[in-house]
Amino acid sequence: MTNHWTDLANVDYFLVIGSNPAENHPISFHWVTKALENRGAKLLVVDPRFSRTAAKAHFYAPLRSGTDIAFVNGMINRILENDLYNADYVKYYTNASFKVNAAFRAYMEAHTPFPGTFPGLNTSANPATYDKTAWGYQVDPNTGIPLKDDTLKDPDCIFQIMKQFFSRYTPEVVEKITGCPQATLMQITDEYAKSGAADKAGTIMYAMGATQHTYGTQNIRAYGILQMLLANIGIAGGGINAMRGESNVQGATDQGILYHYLPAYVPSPTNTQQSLGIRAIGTDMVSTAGSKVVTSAASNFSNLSVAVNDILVFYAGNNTGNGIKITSVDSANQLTLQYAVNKAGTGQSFMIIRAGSYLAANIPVTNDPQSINWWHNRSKYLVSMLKAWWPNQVNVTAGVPTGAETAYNYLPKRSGDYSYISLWEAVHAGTIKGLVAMGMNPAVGSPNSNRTRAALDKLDWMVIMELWETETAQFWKRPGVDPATINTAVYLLPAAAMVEKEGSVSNSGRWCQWRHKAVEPPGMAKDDLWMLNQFYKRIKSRYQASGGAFPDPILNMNWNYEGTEGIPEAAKVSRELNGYYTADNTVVQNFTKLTYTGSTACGNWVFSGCFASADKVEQNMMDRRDNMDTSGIGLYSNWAWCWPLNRRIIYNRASVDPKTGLPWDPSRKVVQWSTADAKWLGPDIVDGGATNSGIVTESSYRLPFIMNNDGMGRVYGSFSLADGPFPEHYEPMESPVENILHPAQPTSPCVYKYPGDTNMQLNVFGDRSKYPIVGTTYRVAEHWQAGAMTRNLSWLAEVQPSMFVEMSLELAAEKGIANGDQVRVSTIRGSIEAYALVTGRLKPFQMNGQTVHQIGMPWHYGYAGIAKGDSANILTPSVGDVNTRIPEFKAFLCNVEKI
Amino acid sequence: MTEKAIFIDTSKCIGCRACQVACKQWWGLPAELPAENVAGSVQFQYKFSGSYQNPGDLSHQTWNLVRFKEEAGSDGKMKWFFTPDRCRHCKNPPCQEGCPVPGVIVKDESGGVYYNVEKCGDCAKQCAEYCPFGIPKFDGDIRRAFKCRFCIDRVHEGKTPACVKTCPPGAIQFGDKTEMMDKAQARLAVIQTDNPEANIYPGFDYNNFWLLLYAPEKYSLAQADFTRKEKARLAAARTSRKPFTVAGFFKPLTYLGMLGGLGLAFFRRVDAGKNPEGKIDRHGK
Ligand code: SF4
Ligand code: SF4
Ligand code: SF4
Repeated sequence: MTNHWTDLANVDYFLVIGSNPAENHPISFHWVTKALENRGAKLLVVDPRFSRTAAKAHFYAPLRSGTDIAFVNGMINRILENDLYNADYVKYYTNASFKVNAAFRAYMEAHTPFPGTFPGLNTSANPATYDKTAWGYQVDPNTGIPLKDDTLKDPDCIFQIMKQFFSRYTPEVVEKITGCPQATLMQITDEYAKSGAADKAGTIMYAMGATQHTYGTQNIRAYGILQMLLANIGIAGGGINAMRGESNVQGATDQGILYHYLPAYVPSPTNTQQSLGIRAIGTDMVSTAGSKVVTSAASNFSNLSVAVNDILVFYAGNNTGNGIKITSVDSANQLTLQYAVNKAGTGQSFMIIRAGSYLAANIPVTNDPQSINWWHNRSKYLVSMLKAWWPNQVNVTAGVPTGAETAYNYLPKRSGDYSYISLWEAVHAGTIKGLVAMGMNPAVGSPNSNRTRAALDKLDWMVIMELWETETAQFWKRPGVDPATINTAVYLLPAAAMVEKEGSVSNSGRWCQWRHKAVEPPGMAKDDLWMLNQFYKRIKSRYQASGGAFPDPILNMNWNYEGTEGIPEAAKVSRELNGYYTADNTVVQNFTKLTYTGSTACGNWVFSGCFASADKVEQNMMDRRDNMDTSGIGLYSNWAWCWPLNRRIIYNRASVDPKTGLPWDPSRKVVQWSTADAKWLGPDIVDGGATNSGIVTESSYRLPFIMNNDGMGRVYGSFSLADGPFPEHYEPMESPVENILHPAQPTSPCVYKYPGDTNMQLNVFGDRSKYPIVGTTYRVAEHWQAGAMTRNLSWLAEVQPSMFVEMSLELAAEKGIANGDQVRVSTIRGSIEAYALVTGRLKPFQMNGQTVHQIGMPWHYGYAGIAKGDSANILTPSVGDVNTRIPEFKAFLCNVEKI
Repeated sequence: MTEKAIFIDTSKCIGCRACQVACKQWWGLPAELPAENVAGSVQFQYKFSGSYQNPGDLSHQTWNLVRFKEEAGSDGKMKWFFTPDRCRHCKNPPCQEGCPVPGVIVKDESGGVYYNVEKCGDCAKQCAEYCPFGIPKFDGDIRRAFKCRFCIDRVHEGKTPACVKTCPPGAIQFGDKTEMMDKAQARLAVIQTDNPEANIYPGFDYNNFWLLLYAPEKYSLAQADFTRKEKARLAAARTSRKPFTVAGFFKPLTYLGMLGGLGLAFFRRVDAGKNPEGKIDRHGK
């Protein structure tokens, strides 16, 4: 979430799309209900099915599963056509005024109607990839700063390109694609667009209904664009709010559980990045404004073998945050750069990054003096993390980190696709032979789960830490399987439940809240930290005893979490996440204190500050329990702690009018620039430096979107995503209809295609003649995820005891199915049996002269526990989102028949 | 103690059924999972209610049930009604009139109506017959009646009832009756602008009342039927009733503990031994 749960009480317009908060995030309704009651807020719900959330809505729009982009693009089009956007915000805070390379417009003009592919597609690769050169900004050849047209009239500026692009999404077209009546689309748009007023706030609440598509990331891009146009980012009651499906999934993501990240959103290295890449650091760079030549008083660049195409990054001094490519090494202490530096200065801190290294790939550069370009600090975060993990490798010698490359070499380098579906394919292929599953139930939760179950059969060993004997724990004796045929050694370790262990839990709003142990775990059950500690110690002793292929990373690792009697303590982990000074082992105040020299160690920079009340003063900030709110907007800043820096609403610099530095809406003040004090005032912690001016005409003014190197909210993603700078409507891999926008390019061109396996139905998609019905999966209020936590409790089994499939009265009549009948649902991958729940809450879609039926079902059930049932994921395809590889659970083709 | 009331604002209810589960948790009531009897079936293990409403009705083990009902409106728009159903805690409880044993049915100073299980016994179930809403349910095995207890134990400790405490959107509220009436009336005035059929049900003569957006039938809430009492009286006069006996009375442990040992907050412990597979909870208690 850019905002947080309690902030929902500040909302005027809720757009709930791709989620069902009344059922899946019921606590959110504590705050939603407050906004409805106290502010007269309006609730707009877009969902294929009339859900419990829809039942509370002022406006409800149905849409066929998988057509969110068409719907939201239709909203964007109407907002652009009718000038319903917030012109000031768009001009000052988004990249709408930036000019795009002329080649982009040339391509778009030459390819009318839009063929479904952007310029630069290389289809010979799998997945197909884009050469994004044409998507880039036009830049000033001398300064490298993007060219803009503040009037938004230049045909190459993003605003104009955008208008053209979205103009295809007329209400008629949107109706034909989504099945949502035009009038409903227009009504929802006009209502939601009211949130574009400076004194109104609109929020988007989304969840897996948005992300679990092959174009899921682009769904979220569309939401982001909508929110930018309506000035809803950075303000109280606004934002783009991903409601996480588990109490601590935000924490898991923060700690690097994603396959392509180390902790704290630092990308994990790939095998093409063999060096970390710190070539030189120093504090003596001299620059002259407007000159491309910089000199160093002390550094000898020739000796340091600084080379052309290396990057010079300024870390402190007048040009902080800027990074420029080196075009020649003129003499021992003089460099020529691609662009002229902005400001004159002496004694500036700098780093020279080796071309082709990890840092060169992961430190975004800009030469815009107004852009803070926060990610230039990534070098500090990675070096501090390496120092935390391998303190004896990373050392500071005369202010220079030594041994950082050694520690970097300890990090595994990605050499392929380690995303979820691919991991299971590797198990199938025998590449992966063992599995450690911690609180994970893939036999129920995986797409195409018959295939996942078959993969489990191939494991040599599996360790599973669980509260119950889940489907995965007992895969070897599942229905239809003879245990004698399974050779996997299965170890089930009894685990402590949430109230039986101590530690931090990070909610969707980034609040990290300390949880104390309420009761001892039963029997032999242990908490996760205890188990991981044992894992580490035992693995280490094995390496010590008998060596191994590459023992150094294990043997040299810092692992110091044990307290009394050898019991590891969660607080010790948190202290490491917070970070400390290596010289005296006192805690750092927060991540602004971190360095790239090895003088600080920090396990997770976004968590830095969670364990310090001031510099060198230790306090578990997450354990704070002051529930008084003095902000007037429900920040509750002294309750627990929130990353980053206890900032409750991120990008909050955008909540002020840059002409005055004062809030767009004084009644909802998040921060404000005080000219008298020459600093930002609260109630929240401002994003992007407390003394950088908030008034656009002042020289110390800084742009609000500090995590983007252009400093702007992006209504056009110049490079960020794999599949295009704008969200385009594609059909799911299994779709009941043609793509009416571009029949020749029905699905996303960048989908990764697994090698076919007709036996197991991999990369095989159902035909609409055989499987004409759209299927989707979801959760219900009464069960949780793959069901272990709830289907094992009789009270929760009672409230939703059986697997069911929801279908419309019309489809039921067509198929001769009555409410409560036993039915079979099948896809090309498999079939399941369930009770039919015939309801008026689903309706067939009338689209483009065609009737399309949709059914839906919960995915919670399996063959273990008190409440059992067939798993819906037997039906879902193993194909992933282009950018994140999250599986396409939410739209597939199926058929249904009475048993 | 000042008189209290429970006010259920259906405009806020999201049908999550946290209240239903909280009630079972607090009172240690077992789950009802009627078997479907499809031999060896994983997927058709239990009878299917055909709706989200599970179990299908109030029972001696389910004192608070969220009812679900859907309807396609005349404007073509879908409506889905949900609200918890339970005892209304009448001012002069008809159920009390029907009960032949003194002291079983108590109208408490808090306004709550509760049944003393220890005293309740082998009668002709007149409480259920007399109740205009058909609320009390009889446990045929031990021959005692059960229904919502206004969480009388919690209320006397200054706490709110379990269902109130749990409700995420604050749809169920609890407090002094006058305050609850004021709240309900103020809310009604607001809600009525968009929902002309909005009403207070069954009225302020009860210590549990609802704000409904539509007529009670839409929510499957029974309209008060006071003729039930008369019918029951007549029926009782016609048949010779089995005499009530206290002797040989067996009090199962489950019910003994109910009003006393209330440190039952931890759900898995309360649920011990009651799941249909005969398993005990994780803690072996
Ligand atoms: S609603 Fe029925 S059970 Fe409750 S107090 Fe009134 S008569 Fe008795
Ligand atoms: S007041 Fe107590 S007994 Fe009555 S429904 Fe609520 S939780 Fe159950
Ligand atoms: S807990 Fe509250 S919102 Fe949920 S069903 Fe009960 S009354 Fe409704």
